[in-house]
Parts: sequence; C-alpha cells; structure tokens
Amino acid sequence: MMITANDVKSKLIENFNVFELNLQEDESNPIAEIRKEALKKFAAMGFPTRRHEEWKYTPVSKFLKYDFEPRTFTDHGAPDEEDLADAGIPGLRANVLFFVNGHYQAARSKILEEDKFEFRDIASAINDEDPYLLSRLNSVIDREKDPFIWLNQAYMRDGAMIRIKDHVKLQYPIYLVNMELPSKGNYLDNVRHLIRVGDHCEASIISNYINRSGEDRNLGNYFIQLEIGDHSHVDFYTLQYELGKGLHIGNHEVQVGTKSTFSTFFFSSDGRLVRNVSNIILRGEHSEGHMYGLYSLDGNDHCDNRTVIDHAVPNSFSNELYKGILDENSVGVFNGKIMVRPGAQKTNAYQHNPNIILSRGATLHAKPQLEIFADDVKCTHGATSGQLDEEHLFYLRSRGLDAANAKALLTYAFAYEVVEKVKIPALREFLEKRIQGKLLIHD
Amino acid sequence: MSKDDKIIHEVAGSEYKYGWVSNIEEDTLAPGLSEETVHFISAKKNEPEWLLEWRLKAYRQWLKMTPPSWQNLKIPPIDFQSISYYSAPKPKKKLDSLDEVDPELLATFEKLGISLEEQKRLTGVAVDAVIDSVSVTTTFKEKLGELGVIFCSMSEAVREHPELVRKYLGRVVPPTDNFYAALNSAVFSDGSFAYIPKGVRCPMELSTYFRINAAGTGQFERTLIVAEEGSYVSYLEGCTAPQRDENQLHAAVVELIALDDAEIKYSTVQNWYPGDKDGVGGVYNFVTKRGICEGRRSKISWTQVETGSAITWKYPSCILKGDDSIGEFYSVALTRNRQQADTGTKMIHIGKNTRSRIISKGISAGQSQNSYRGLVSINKGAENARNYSQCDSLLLGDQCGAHTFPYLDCSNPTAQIEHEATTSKIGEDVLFYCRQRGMDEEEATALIINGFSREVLKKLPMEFAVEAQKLLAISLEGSVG
Repeated sequence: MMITANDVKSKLIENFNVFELNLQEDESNPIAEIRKEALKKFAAMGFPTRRHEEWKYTPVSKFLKYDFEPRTFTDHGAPDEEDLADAGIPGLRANVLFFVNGHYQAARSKILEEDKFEFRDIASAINDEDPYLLSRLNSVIDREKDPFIWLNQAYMRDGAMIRIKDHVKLQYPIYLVNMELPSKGNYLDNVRHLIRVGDHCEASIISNYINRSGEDRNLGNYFIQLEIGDHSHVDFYTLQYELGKGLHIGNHEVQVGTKSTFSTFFFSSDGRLVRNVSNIILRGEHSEGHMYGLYSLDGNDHCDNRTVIDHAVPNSFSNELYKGILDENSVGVFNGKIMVRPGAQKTNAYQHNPNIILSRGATLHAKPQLEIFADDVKCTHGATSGQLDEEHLFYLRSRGLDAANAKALLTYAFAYEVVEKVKIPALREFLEKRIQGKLLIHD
Repeated sequence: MSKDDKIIHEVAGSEYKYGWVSNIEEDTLAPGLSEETVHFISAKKNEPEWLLEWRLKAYRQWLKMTPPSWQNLKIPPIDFQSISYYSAPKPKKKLDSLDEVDPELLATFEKLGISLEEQKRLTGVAVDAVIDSVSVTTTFKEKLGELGVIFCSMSEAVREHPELVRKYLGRVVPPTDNFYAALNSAVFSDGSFAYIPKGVRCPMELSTYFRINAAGTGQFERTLIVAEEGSYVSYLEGCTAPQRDENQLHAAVVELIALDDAEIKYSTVQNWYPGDKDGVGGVYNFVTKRGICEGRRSKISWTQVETGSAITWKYPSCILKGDDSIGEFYSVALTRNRQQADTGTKMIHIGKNTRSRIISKGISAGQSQNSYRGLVSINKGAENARNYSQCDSLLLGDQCGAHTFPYLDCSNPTAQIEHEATTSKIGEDVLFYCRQRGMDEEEATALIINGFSREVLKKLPMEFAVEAQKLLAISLEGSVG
C-alpha cells in the first residue's frame, strides 16, 4: 500500500510514547513537557501541502512515501575512510564537531580552541536539564509556522550546543560535520544545533551535510538556532554537496544584536529534496545581515531556498544575493522576503536573484517579496531568469574554446560571484574545485 | 507636528469629493441569493434558455466554493444573502435622443464632468453609460454601425447577437474560474459588449462610465470585447460612486479576446467610494479581468489608475497564446486612510516569442496597505519569451504599508525574465531641490508624485489622462492644493 504524508504524520504522533520510553529520560525533566507541547503543535499543523503559501513549490508530501521512523537506537554507525574523506576540506584547520546519524561522535571530533568556546552535546545537556538549553527550547520564534521545527523539537535527541564568550575571536572555524550513514529502515533524524555568540566576538561556522546512504529513505530534519550578541561578526557556511538523493530540511533561526554583522552562505548542489530556511531577525540597531546562496542543480534535484530578513529595529542593513544554475530536470525555488517592521526607519535592504536555466526540463520558481511597514526606507529586489549570452559564448568560441568548455566557463563565472564572497581560503578553494568538477571544466 | 507630517495628515484625511446619491427610481429585487434569484434576473432580461442554464451552472458551482483567503487583505465577512442582486432604472420608452433621458441622470453625469452631449459633440467618444446595472443610453451607435463595430449593452448583445455572445462568453474567464467570477456569472446584471470586425480600426475610444447607485445593490458587470483579425480598439472604463456607509460589493468580470494581429487597449480609472477616514463603508472591488491573445502578433494592454474602493482585489491578466503576441500592464494604485489594495497582473506565456511588460506604481498614505501581486509564468513551449517587470512603491507617512509579491515561474531555458522592485519614500534631497527652486512642499510633493506615475499615466488615452491626473490630485489634496 502507498504510504502518504498523512500516514507518516499519524505514525509519528501515535508512536511518540514508544520513542519517549526508549529515550529513558527522567520523567521530572522539563524536556518531557516541551516535547509534548511541540508534538501538539506538529499534530495541529501536519505536513504542509501545496496550499501552504510557503510550500507552494515544494510538495513535500510527494517525498514522504516511506514510514519514516525517528531513530531511537544508540548505534551511531562508524564512517569508513571514504566517508571521512568526504567530510574533509583540504587545508582546512578547524574545530571539528562530528555527528553521525544525528549523534555526536567525540572520537571523530577535534576541538583546537577549547579555551575559547564552550561545547557540549545536546544529548547530555538534556540529561542535565541545562538551563540555557531549556531557555532556548522555550523561546523558539517560528514566524513561518513550520511543522518541521516542531517535529524537530518533539523528537530531537542530539546536536551541538556552542557558546562563545564575550570578547573572543576564534582563530579557526567551527566545522560541524553532519553525516548520515546507510542503515536498514527509513529514518528521520532530528538534529538541533544551538549556537550563542557573545558580544565583541568573531567566529566562522561551517556546517557540512553528507548523506552517505544517498537515498530518499532518510530525512534529515535540522534546526539551527543562532543567537548573536552586540558588536560581533559571524559567518555561517552551509555545504550541501554530498546529499546524493537524500532528503534534507534545514531551518535556521538567527537573531542579530546591535552593531553586529551576520553572513550566511549556502552552497547547494545535491539532494532529491533540499529545503533551506533562513529566518534572520535584525533586532539590534546598526546590525547587518548578508545572505549569499548558490544552488547549482541537475538530475532530479529539488532545492527550495526560503529566506526572511526581518528588520525589526531602525537603522539596519541587509544584502542578499542568491544565484541559481538549473540543469537537466532540476527544480530551483527562491522565495526571499524582506520584512520591515513598523518603526524600523532608515532600513536599507537589497535582494538579487539571478538564475540560469541550462536545460528544457529544468524549472525555476522565484518569489522575491517586500513587506514594508515603515516609510523612510530604501528597499529593492530584483530577480532574473535567462540563459547564457550568445555573444559571450561566441567570443569564447572565437578564442578557440569548444562549445562545452565555453558554456562551462561562463557558467563558472556566473557562480563565482557568490564563491568569491567566501572568506576562508581553504573553503573557497574547495568550492572552486567542486564547482569546476561539476561543470567539467578541463584544460 | 512638522509641516511634513501635517501635509501627510491632510492627504490621508481628505474626504471623498464625489459622494452624493442621485434619486432615480429603481426597480430593486429584495436581498437574497438563490436559484430563484438567478431565474428572476434571467427572466427579467428575457434571456434565452442556454444563458439561464449557464448562470445556474455557475451558481451551483459557486455554492461549493469558498472566498479566497490567500490575498494580503483583511476582508470582513460578506453576507451574500443581504445583497440585492438586481436593480435597474425603471424601463422607459425607447429613447431617440438625449433629451428623453432622465434629467436627473444627466445631472449626475454633469457632476462627474462627463456630459454626454458634450462628449457627443466635442470629443467624439461613444459612451455606453451604465447606471446600476442596466445600460440606459448608447450613443454613436450609428457611426460605429457603419463600420460593423458592435458596441452595446450585454443584454442587448444577448438579444441581437446571441451567436457571438454564446461563442465567446466565459471563454477567457470560465464561469467557475474563482469564487467571485462564479458569483458574477450567476447573477451578472448587465455590462458592455464590443465586437470589432476583421480589419477595422475602431475610429473612436469606446467608453463606459460605471456608477453604483442604489444603496445595498451589488454591481455585477460583465464586459466582453472581441477584436477580430487585424482590428484595433481602445476601451475606457471609469467609475465614481456615491458616498454611503454600507459596504458595497462589486464583482465584475472583464474578458478580452484578441485574434490574429488584433490589438485591444483597455484603460480604467477607478474611483469608487473608499470609505471614510476611519475605514467605515466603501466599495469592495473584487474584479476578474483577463484577456487572451489568441492569435499571432496580437496585443492586449491593460492600463489602470486605481484610487478608490475600500478593498481592491484585481489582477488584469494576459494569456499570451498566439506566437509573437504581446501583453502589457501599466498600473498606478493609490491608497490612503484605511484602504487596502492587492492588485497586479498575470502574464502567462504559452506561444513562442511572446513578450510582456509590467509597470506598477504603488502609492500608500495614511494607514493604508498597498500590495502588488504578480505572476509571470513561462510555459515549456514559450521559446524566446521575454518579460520585464518593474514595481515601484512610494510611502507617504509611517503608518502605511507597501508590499510586493511577484511570482516568477520559468520552464523554458530560452526565456528571459527580469523583475525589479523598489520601495522608498520621497527623497529628502529631491524635496529639497524642489524647495530651493521656490516650490512649497505641497507643490513639490505633487510634482514628484506626478513624475513617479508619469510612465503609467502617459499610456492612458488623452481624454483619460487628464481625468486621471485630476483624480490623483484630488486624492492627494492637501499636499497638491
């Protein structure tokens, strides 16, 4: 019998008790109540359909065709050499935090700057009823009413809890490796990363998603909460080059304090279903949000980029550049919103979303939005879709490049505008190679 | 309060200038909607059986539908049973000249500044005046008749040209298209019908003035324009409505059909009662307007100036089916007080080498909310389709909102889509420049708003451009002076 999203939903609700029993959490632990509340919210919302405005172009129910089960066993699997090689970025020195099937693996992790930030895994934080963890779980904003956030909250088991103290400048990035290994059964992994950056800090965080099972039978449901204090600079990189045909949902909720700058970088190039949601709230004056994204898709990839930049106070600035390259039968979605709250005067916000469609089977859906409730603002957005310029192609051909290389070179140049924004040299080189490899540029 | 603020408050608070009720005897149906209502309307208008069936089908479908809720509007629940679905000026004997028209009706037009006689004599515009649902008088019919152009009320068209009406009615907006289109299809009272035969360039602008007149009467107009091969027509639609506190529902449907090499230019100036400054009363304007470029090299162009209505919900659209066809949308939407507007367009590219252009200018003042919502859809077969969209919003005052919701769907690699949008207030440097040239703030604001809207206003036919500018000026009175 065909399994539908509704079946998945009812099973997740019905089997919650079993999951709880398996967890063996203390009954008096406040997390139990938090989980129940979240499950109620998830039950009330259900999985989104096409009628859900924010999910219009991503029919998630189409992908929920196996009875996904939240993983309860503690066998975390062991990645082999090849898996580890995928996680490695040549020349990158970083504070590595390794997660396999949603669970922290201390043996694979390596923290270089122990003195500069505090790390603990969420699983043990839950056991200790960590007050910071509980306060964050109780302050989920979820403006978009996303059921996956509540599904994550109900079923979360592990993740990273990182706190960077005031006046700390991290020399090396924090590198989160999120790996899923092949396993029998269809699993739903709910992973939560909580990051708190203090005042006057500098930090870079890289989150790499690797799905070694490579199939659409595993759904990774990630929820990342990031809280940035005042006068800090934070860069957050997301890499999605090793998802195969996996399913991935990533929700990001970011709060930015006064005079702080936050930048996100999304590099997506894989995955049967990938949905990246960035919800950035500029809640301190003179704060800045920068959002960069590059989705280069082929095969049957479906990548949905949802971004919301919320200018909640006056005098904030945001800039967004998302570029799309769509080949074969891929579907690319860009849905970006600039929100200016009442009273958020002197807001400057820019958004740009150019796309290249390379093949007849590919489809683009772009929905840039402005919602503005203050008058003294400057907000613009632009979106384009087209193909490579004939004249540019001709120029390269006339210089002796063959058609394939000319096309690849121009596409690469298009992509490079985003890649060049990457501030970590080793990571930038890695990305350059990945993109070149994908475009098959050769000498 | 600074002078700036004062101006803004004056702009936002000015009352509607065109509010009066003319006392023409009405033949009004008791409120309520049922199959009997549909039968009554159809019988009253001596309609053929097929049209009654058509209406009933729409009505039955309507019963199964729910009002749309996706739009960025706050619409109070509407009791469709409390609306009277038929109201017509009492039938009088056939009129041969304007002298026989109800003098009060003529006076109404006089107040609007569109005396029929004046127009007949001076401007050469044929006016099919629709007062509360039934066409009262049609002018210039003879002249148009010589060229074979049919321009008459919908009821007359149903009587005189049933084959044309039957062929084209509901072709672009099917009776079950959406909630309000279904309602309109079931109970439409009257409207205009224009048919331009092959190769004819319509020698004058066809024009209809709508007025909502009787209290509590919904207006359900149905307009159908067919342009045969190689023909051209420019159609004007303008409206003002008397002031009253009861909300009035207006759910019109407009269908345009352009065949090979035909061009239809449809211009609207809409200034219905927007409600008072606290948002009491005002017209609900829920309109479905759609045109199809059926033939090759055909062109449909929508131009609208929207200043009225408490709530506006309309998306004049083009289906670009014929190869090399062109769709255009030019819009100025001004909202103030507590007005809400969610308006825009849809450009559906189906044929090869189709082109579309969208220019939308939104001006928000007071506590109003103004949204642009548009779709550009490039289907798989639309080789070399081209779209350019530009949506600019101007904010006056810190309590209003301007929103942009463009949807771009592209399934063809050879297509090229460009969309850009900006939102800002009037730049202080711009104001300062005008001030130092000796203008006061009111004049400067008027000048800037005029310039902001110019790209759209210049697309209006001459007769309309003047009125539209007047309208913008009146709507922004206080700053414009």
